[in-house]
Amino acid sequence: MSRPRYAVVGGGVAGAATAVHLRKLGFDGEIVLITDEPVVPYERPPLSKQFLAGTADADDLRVQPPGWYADQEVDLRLGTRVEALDVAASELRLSGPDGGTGGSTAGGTERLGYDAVVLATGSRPRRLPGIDGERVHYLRTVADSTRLRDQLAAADRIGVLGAGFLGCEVAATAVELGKQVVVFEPDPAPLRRVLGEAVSSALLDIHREHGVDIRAGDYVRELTDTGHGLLLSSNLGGHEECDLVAVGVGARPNVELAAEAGLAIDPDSGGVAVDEYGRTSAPNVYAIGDIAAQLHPRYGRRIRVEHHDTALRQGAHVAGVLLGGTEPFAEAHWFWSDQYEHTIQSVGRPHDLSDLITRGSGDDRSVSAFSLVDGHIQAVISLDRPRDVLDVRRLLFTEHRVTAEQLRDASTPVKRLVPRPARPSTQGKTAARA
Amino acid sequence: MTDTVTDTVTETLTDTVTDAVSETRDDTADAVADSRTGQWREAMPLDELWEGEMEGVEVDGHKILLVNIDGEIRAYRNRCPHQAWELSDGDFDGENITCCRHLWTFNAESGQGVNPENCQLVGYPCSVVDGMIMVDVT
Repeated sequence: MSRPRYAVVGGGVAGAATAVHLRKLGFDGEIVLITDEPVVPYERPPLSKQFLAGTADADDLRVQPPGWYADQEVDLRLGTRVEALDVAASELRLSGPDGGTGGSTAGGTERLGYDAVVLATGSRPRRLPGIDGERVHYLRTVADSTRLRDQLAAADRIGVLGAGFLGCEVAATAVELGKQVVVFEPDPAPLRRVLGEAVSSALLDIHREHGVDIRAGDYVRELTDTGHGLLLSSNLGGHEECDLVAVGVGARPNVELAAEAGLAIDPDSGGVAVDEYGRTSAPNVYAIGDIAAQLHPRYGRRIRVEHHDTALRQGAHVAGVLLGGTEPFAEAHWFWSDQYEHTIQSVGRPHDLSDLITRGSGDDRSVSAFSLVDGHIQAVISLDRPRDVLDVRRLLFTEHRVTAEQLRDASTPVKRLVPRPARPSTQGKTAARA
Repeated sequence: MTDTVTDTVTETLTDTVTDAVSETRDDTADAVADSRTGQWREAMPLDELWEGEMEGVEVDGHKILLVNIDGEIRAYRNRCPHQAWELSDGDFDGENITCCRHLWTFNAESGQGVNPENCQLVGYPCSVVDGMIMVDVT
């Protein structure tokens, strides 16, 4: 009997983590990792921060050194597209530089049989109609960020459409590079619908203090290339000339491959429907990362998450499942965003963003907003209070009961609000503390 | 324990030597601890570092993270190899150290990266003498 072959489609952190953990867990069958990008798997978070600022280069982004794949016998197919997934035949159809080599060929494509396939195709930027061109940037890949970085060097004035994570991070990076930055955001503050009022208001102040011109409550209706720049015409009647425009208005999951193969799609999130083990509706086909709408046992429903940490953990998890693991994916959802010297972090899922309890103060640039339901913390969203986030991360899925008053009182660390877990300690040390 | 002759020589070299140590990422704290040529300094009374807890201290200008793993003490440079945030702001669950900034996680006993794996904390030799945690800061 031949060695089993596990195929991974997608070269982001989710796909790479799958390959890494398959080997780490001792899988000695074939691993084929297919990515349509021409480079080895890399980390995307620095693309809007350090890489864009020029303080990190492409080598710094790599998940594993280029030699790792050969060392670990991971068959890495760069610049290769998966054109189709045939679940009945347990086959992928590939095209690209490697298409037509290796496996059985037909019409310039390669058919690659699999024993299991993990779809980690990620997402792509949502594009705005009419907002396109040489000096318009949608950011997803290292190639996108390189192009933006190169144009940024010669630009004075930058327009940013959308104050989401990407827009905020690009704005922060650009203004720190000495550029004039104007940001259009239809909501009253950046990331209001993700972070809630307290943190998003503080974030608005932070950007303005750094000199970013944030046009909250306004958006760009029309973009005209004037030949020497871009003219932005806003909904409120404003006109802004910019040298280039970066757009960050959300992402769309790349579910076409799965949908065309007949896999079930979660209607609410538009992601590939998977269970708590990452299994899709087709046998031996799994989905992870941005595309996965995964049933989460703690919430009892499918949730699609577009954050780095979840992608990484789902990759590690599905590797375990492929090798017989029986633990569901039940991890807390955590994310961060670094802007200037500040860090925004969150863990959990807020019940109601309009009903949050705050600790600390946005004016002091140290604030956490807690979602509390019946004495149980559902989530925390923090600006520069990472300790609160770590504490909640530990508490989140445990039995606990805290009050709003306790959460508001910053003098007691969150982890001290619950009984200290007993741990073995020598008598002497306990006495010394008592 | 302290070698005074070496002391005078290494005093001026401290920075260079520490950098050299950080390059050798495969060195475990144990391996380094075997070389008894360094500058041993008092870091903290053992009584003040509970089992299952970690604490940041400054010793001779070096920011050091002390960890008590069920009575076993480890000392690391108090900065995450990712973006240099102080690890003492993070979390220690008795097994792993988690950086509060981006949740990079390290095995407390070896300093080896757990998530991601391709990184390593910089270890300092350390030992406990008469209830005092001693760290070699060279």
